[in-house]
Amino acid sequence: MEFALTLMLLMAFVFFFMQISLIFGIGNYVHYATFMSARAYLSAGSNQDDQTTRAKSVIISTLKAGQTLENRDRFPVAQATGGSSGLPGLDIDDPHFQAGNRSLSWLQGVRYTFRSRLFLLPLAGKSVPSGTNGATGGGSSPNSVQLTSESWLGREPTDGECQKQLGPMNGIYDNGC
Amino acid sequence: MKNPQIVRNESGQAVTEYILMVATVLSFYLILARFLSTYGLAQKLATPITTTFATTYQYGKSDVLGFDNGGPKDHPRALSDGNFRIFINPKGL
Repeated sequence: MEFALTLMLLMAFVFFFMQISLIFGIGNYVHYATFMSARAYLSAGSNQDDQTTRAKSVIISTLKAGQTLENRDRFPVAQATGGSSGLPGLDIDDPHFQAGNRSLSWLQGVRYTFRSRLFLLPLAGKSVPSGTNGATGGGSSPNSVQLTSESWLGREPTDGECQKQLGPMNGIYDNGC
Repeated sequence: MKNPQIVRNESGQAVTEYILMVATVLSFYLILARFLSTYGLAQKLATPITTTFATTYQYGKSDVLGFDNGGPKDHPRALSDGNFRIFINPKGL
């Protein structure tokens, strides 16, 4: 019995460090996926929906279980949280983005948020209200960490936007501005 | 004729000692578990991950505030209020 108790406690700490290693590794991969998604979103297209669909497609193929299982995470360690684009964890453009405001116009791109458990045993106590235990990593539980990957690469004008802007000026455009 | 040692039946001593030992180990475990919870040892272990690492992961620097949490402050890309900087070094200069 004493062996089981000691083992349980020790394994909790061993799994904690294993979990951190996994979070670091998957975190790097999420950065890569977010950047690739932002690149897909950046490239010009026929309309903005086309650009958004491409960004989502990259996230689905890299971080989700499959094209038909887009609500299921590929890595159970990193569970997508939030997300306003119809895909768990994914935000297209920051809510503060304003096209005409130079201070806020750069907030255009892709953001992916996920949450990971730190302790497999509830060692860190009870849940606390969101946002009270840190600047970014605030969350509903001290047993988990919430990470956000951002890539604000911007977005090229679409064909439709080009025609709208340059058409009245008799500007020249081919498949982009 | 019966063996006097068997008659006294001392076999219960081992069981009693085992129970006492398990009680001691269990008490120690419960005290340790309560200590972890009361003093927030696990939470202290997790704090650098949930705060410092999380902010560095998102912004590239540990003491940056973004638009979502009261900033921007020292944000590498925000333009207002002297936030803009080309490079960020670990000393925060």
